[in-house]
Amino acid sequence: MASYVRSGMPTVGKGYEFKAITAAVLGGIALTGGRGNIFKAIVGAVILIVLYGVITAFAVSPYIQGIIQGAILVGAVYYATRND
Amino acid sequence: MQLAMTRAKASLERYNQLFLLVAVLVIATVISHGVFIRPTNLILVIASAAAFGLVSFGQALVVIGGGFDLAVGSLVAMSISAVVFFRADFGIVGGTVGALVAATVAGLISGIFVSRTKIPPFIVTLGMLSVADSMSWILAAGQPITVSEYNDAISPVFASFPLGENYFPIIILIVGFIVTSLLLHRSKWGRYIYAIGDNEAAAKIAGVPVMRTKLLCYGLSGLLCAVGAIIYLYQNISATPGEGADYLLLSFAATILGGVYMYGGEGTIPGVLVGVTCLSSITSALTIAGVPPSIYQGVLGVIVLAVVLLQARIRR
Repeated sequence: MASYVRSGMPTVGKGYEFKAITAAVLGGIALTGGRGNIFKAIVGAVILIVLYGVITAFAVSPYIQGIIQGAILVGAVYYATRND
Repeated sequence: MQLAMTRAKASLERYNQLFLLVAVLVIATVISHGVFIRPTNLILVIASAAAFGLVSFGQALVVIGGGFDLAVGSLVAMSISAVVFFRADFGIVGGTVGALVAATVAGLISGIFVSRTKIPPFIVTLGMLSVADSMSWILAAGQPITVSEYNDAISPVFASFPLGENYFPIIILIVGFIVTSLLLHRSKWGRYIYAIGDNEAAAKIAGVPVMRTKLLCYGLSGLLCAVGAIIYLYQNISATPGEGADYLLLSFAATILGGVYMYGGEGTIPGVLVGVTCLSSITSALTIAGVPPSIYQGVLGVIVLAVVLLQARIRR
């Protein structure tokens, strides 16, 4: 009945939060706040753009991009927190 | 002593939840001009809460243990695709087992990263969200998904009852509720979860097996996502890859509304069930009242913000 109708709309812009956080992390901003600055975030974004360029250049399936993004994010934070 | 305190607080919170539930039910009945409270509608309300209710129980275990699981929505999506992927070679039983195993393994991987490294749960599960979303597309080869076997096999069992096809999701929800309740409120693992969520360093010193407890939480969260996915397929039969992502917001909304403290250490599974029922009731009442579905997400968001604000106020 009507109560079954739930919205299942794909949200436009989904994935941007992911890219933004990855960019900030890659730029070396500590997620706990306090460290890092906007220029580092820009550096992170640039690194990410270059990476996406490389991914596109090698014609990686778009389906696999999510796995690569996830790996980069977790890898970068692991590298950053390793010596804490 | 502290345990007794936590217990006392938990029971107090349970009464708060009852009050909340009654308030929501009354409001829903008023908004819908009495249609909401009819038994037939109540059955639909609970049945439509089943899938995200199960996901919310898993989320609650993780959050009470001081973590976050942002991957739940994508894990539901991945499980839906996994059913189709494994069904191709091993039939529907193999598909079901494959989905349950795949989601549990994904949850365990999150758990390993959270417990063995210093990466915050937020980042680990955000990474898992991305990976699982990709997997949902890969496993389904980007094609629309149709799985009618669950409905075909199970709904005839209850066919003689009115609204019979809604009983299976309700039964599974109740089973999930009992199992997670027993785990959290009646087992030593439950006490470990509260201890870690309350103060991880202290729990570690006191000899709580932190790593195994976290693995249990994240693994169960993954498993419950797969069960939720099966309920989803039973109810909807078809899906597109990536569907189920809404469950992330819903599970947090239900968990927070259910009185779970966002930073861990407090909350109960009965409370979460109340949160789940409230959300489902609000959706149902809005639907009956003829409010367009496009604003449901907004209403949900406002409710979550309000409850978080209230939590912060009370704590100050």
